[in-house]
Amino acid sequence: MEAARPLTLPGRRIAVGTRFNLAYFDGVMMAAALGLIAFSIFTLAAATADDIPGSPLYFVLRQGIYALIGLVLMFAVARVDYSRFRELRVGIYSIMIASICLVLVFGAAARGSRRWIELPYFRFQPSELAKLLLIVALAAFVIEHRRRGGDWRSTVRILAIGLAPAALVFLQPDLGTALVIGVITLAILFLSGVPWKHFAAIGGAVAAIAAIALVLAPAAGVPILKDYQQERLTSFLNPSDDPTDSSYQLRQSQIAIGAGEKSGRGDQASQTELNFLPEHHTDFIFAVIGERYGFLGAAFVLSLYALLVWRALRLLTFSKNLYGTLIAGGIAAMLMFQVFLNVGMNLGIMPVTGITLPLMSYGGSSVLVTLMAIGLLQSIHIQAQLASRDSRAPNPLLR
Amino acid sequence: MQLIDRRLGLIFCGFLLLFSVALARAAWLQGVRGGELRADARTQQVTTIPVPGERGRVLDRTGTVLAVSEDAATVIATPYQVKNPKQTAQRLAEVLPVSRGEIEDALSDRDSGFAYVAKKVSVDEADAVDELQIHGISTLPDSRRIYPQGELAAQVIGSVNDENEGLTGLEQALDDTVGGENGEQEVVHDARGEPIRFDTLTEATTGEDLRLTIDAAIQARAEEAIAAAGEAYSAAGASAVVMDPDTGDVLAMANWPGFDPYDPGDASDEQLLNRTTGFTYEPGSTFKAFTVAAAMEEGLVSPETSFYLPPTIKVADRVIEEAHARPTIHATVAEILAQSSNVGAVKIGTEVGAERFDEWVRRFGFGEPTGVGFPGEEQGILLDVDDYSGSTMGNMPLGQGLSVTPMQMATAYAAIANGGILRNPRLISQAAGEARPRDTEGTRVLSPATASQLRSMLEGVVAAGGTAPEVEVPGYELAGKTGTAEKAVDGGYSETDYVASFVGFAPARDPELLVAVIVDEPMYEHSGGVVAAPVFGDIAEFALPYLGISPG
Repeated sequence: MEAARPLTLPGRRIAVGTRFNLAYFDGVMMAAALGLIAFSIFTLAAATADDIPGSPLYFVLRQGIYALIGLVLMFAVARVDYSRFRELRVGIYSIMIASICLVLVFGAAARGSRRWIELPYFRFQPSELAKLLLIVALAAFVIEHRRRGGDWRSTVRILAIGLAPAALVFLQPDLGTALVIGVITLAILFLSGVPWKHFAAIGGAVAAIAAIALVLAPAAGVPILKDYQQERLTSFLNPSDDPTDSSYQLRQSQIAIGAGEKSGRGDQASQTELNFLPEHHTDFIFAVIGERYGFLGAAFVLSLYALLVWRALRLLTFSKNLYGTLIAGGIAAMLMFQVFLNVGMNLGIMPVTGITLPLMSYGGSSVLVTLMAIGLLQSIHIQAQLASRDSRAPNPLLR
Repeated sequence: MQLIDRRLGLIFCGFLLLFSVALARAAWLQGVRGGELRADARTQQVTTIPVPGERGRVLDRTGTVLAVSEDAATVIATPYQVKNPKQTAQRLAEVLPVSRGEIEDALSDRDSGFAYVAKKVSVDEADAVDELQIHGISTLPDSRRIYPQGELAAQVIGSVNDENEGLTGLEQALDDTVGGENGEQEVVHDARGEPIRFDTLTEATTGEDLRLTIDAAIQARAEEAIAAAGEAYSAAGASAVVMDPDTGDVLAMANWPGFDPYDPGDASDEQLLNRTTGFTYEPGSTFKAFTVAAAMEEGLVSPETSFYLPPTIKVADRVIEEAHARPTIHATVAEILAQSSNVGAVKIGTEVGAERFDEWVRRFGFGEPTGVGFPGEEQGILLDVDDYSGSTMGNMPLGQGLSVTPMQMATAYAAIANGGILRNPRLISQAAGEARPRDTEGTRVLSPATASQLRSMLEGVVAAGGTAPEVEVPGYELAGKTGTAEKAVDGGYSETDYVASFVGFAPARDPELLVAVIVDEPMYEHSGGVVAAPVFGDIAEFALPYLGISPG
């Protein structure tokens, strides 16, 4: 494969080239990721041709560029031994918190929330990257605390570390991402072996908070959620409430998907074409797929995600160390939850939370971060293989 | 790692569960509810609207357009998309012929997805609406009927409804010919309600032209004349038929009162009625010409045959009197006609006898529609000869006990005027590009000699000593017959309600113009010579030179 080339890192000199080998990549995972990107671009090409008059390829080109940059980043991340991030946990965590605070102060506002930082040619959404940074940092913190055993104090502390960025993101406000961060935190806690009774307590607390936020506080005149958030969270439960407002998107999305029937409507996909389906290139791209390519297309996309998540979960058992296991678990949970939240929203069984569909939705931050996450997974895969080769043990990952 | 494996297993189960839920939900929406949701999509995206087929034109005999269709537009609204109904109504009212209040009413149902703002506005007005670019307001192509001559011949031409379907008159009767077939169009609109695409499902077709024998100028004059008489005598109604007696072509069918063809819903049945074919009346003295014609053709009398006329005559249980009491006289047939003697007419009718009289009445076309080609033509009432009572022959010879339409009367008089041939009159000369021929052959009902003698006698009516001596058209010899009929009421005759009529033609020796004038229930005056005859003069004064008819 690649010629051996020494890579110089500060302080020490290791020959990465011999160790970095495409053969150690998880090809199935790569195929799933590339398949999703390709299908995203394919769908965008068809569905967004009329969105920007005169530039039929506006979204396609940009998504293509994001994907290319993302792939480069993925390779870059993949060739680094993820274990090294453990030492950097405090720095990574600090950067993450700082970036979210930055957006709260300087962020560009859109529809009542500040989520982006305007960069030249690019609009960066720190909360996207925060999810990944949190996984890397939180997994490291967990391992540090784990030495002291599964006591209440460490559970609370980990929870605090994880929920701090969730709270900050919630203030933007970005409820969806806050939920994803919460789920990541819980997943890592769960995999680190926190006792069940702790989870029971957490579950009780979540239920109490939800009850307060959704029912008691508004009743007492202290709104915690903004009106539209509350509406979004509850409207999917009774979608026929008001066809023109909060449930409109859910209703239109279901019509689009249903209209696709078994094999899709192709260019007759009028829900998208006539703009009945809002945000069809971002949050509701799954509905576009459902309408254009029918159940076949929807099942195909879901299968690619199933493949991706399966390959991520598979790493949990084969990682060379617990750190890799926790990172893989966090990423798998993130992907799983995002996909289910987004697809569920498109299908009308989950509330509207503004969560993107990883790799499918148009958007630089999401694509870049997801591909970096996959790069991390690849790093875990590569390191596991290298470790097993070094130990001369039979490699469980080689078929 | 035991713990990890166990918890991984749980996570994996959770993952499978979520995956299955998503897949199952997709299968539910796309498999089970797919058809229904696709229909929902179509319902909210596509509206089927009719594309009005443009109607054919209606032309008069010279090509003057009496009715034509032009492109128009209908302004519609999606009320729930209109942000500010008050302001929108204000802005629309400035460019549309609709009041602000009406528009506000149209927009008032805030949940509605469809409402008409204004129907059949001009293309210019529609353009002005489009330029306002009000969200939720749009225009659809439409077609509207234009009557360039206004109310002229409105009862004949008729009117259409909002769907461009014939509602009255020829518009309704010949809807199959004149009416275009509506097409259907699908409007695909986007989420904002803006029309994106128009798909034609079925093409609209244009209706065929209709050419009438009516002459717009003569029609106009006839309408003015009967309106003047109708108003002057506060009549219930009036009508006039103008005909070319040689061909049977109807040059005018005038009716009063008229109506606005753009607003037929506002018109009463009386106003909508084409009286020339739809109004029946007891003709009275105008009918005496046929009594005399029958007797002459039977060889029973000549114009010079003299009759002994007592002041009254008793037939069965009925005593016939003259309109104006007079002593016993001797009078010729010509004098009987000129002075319109009732007693004389009865005597002549008695000579003919019931059987032959009935044959003659039917020969002149009474009791049957004339076939002029106007819908719903009345046939009048004519007793069967077997049903004659003892007094019938004291009635019918002077025009009582039967009812006729103005068109029947004009048609029968045309046979006298044209030398003895009864022709079906004609109103429509061309439909859908195909000529509707005249009844060139006709039926000979009188010998030319009898017809000529009758014309001479009818000149006497408008001469000194006749019943309408004051009617004249300088340069032309006129002929005609007055009629002053008491209206039949419950088994008897009214003392106050009359039908005043006059049927005349000119030039008297070689008639080329025939006019029948009927004024229903004139007040103040009721004699045909006073009320109806001047109308004839008025029409003939214009029509004779207009048609280039030489005084002969």
